[in-house]
Amino acid sequence: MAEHLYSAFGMRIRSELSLALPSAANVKTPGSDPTVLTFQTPAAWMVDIVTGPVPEYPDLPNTLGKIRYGRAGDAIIFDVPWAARYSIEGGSRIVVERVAGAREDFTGLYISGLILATMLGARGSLALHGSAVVGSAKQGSTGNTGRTGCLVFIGDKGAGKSTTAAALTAHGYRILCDDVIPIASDHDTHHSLVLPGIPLPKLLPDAYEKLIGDPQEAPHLFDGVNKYQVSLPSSDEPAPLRMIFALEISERAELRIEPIKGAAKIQRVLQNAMSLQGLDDPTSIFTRCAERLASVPCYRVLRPAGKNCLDELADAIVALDRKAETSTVAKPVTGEAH
Amino acid sequence: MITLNKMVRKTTIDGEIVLLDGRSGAYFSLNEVGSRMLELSLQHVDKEAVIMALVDEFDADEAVIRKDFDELLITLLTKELIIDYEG
Repeated sequence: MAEHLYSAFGMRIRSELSLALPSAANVKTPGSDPTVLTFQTPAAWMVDIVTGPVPEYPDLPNTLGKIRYGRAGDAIIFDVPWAARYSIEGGSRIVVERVAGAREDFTGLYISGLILATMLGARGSLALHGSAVVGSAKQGSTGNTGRTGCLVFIGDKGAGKSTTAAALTAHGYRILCDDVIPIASDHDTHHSLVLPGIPLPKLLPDAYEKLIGDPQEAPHLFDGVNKYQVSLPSSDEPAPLRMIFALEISERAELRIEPIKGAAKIQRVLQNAMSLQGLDDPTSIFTRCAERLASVPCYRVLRPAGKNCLDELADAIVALDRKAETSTVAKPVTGEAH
Repeated sequence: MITLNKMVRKTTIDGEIVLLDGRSGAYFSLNEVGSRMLELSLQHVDKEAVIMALVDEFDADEAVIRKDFDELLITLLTKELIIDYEG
């Protein structure tokens, strides 16, 4: 019997396990806010997470570190030796068999990231690895709907995705996603839309100290690895994708932000598209990226390695966003894949 | 006369063509001139007409365009990204 009801990634999730996902009780019906574009989200996509037996499959063909995974009949199986075995069945049901002695929160950690992201891919969605924020409608300077576009931050591990997103909350932005960014396409408006994900950024101790406070006073937020999961102003409404920022650590002395266009843009985005070898077809990922991201402006952000320039970076991003605000929220998709 | 290999996906972003080889997962990107060369060639425009169009569009030297055109097509054919069905 499901005890928990969540809403994330365009899914309504009934779960027997407690998960670190936004509660469905707090989520508004899409379209209820006139400042937000309505769109055709898979709102009826119900996902059930139940506990039960998942057979051992010794011949799963793919590995992700020590995690083994692959298809078994119509199901997709993940075997995480220190947490659980997971079976994704029919795109709407996940069966979980926990390893003896494994903690429930550890078991849930893989559901809210790896397993649900895999379901997104199997369903034809595009998911990027990174963080996303959305402007607050109340802070619009034009007097109309305000800044409701979504800014996405991608980059390698340690590039500062979560930290940059967290820093922008001081400028009125709200966290929309951290880690997994689901991007849908509205068939009516041709906008690329970022769906709400898990709005809980994970910060390294130094970033936590700069943005939040003394990490020693928040041991309960420590994720057990090396980061602090923090709750900041967040949004549970989908938002049109306005810009993508690819964060990189640079040997340059100064912060530099430069546009990326054409082939370099899609190649940079594809590097952060979530896909699993053996499960996801590279051709499909390429096509989804082309369809949804071709017309979205993308910037390379070169952050000096030896200099803290978070405030300068946040100011520059806000300035770019305000400049875009005066032109358009998001242009229709013009990319095509043949 | 050339056509795209059926295993290749093509997309145009900011005026530049990107090709994905579905067999290997490798990407090939073309600059603005290369993109225009391929686009015209896929429209089955005669080679000489393609070259003259590019000379006009990019205000470029004909010999340079001709050399670049030949090199591009050889590269794409060698990588089996395109097929020359007239040999």
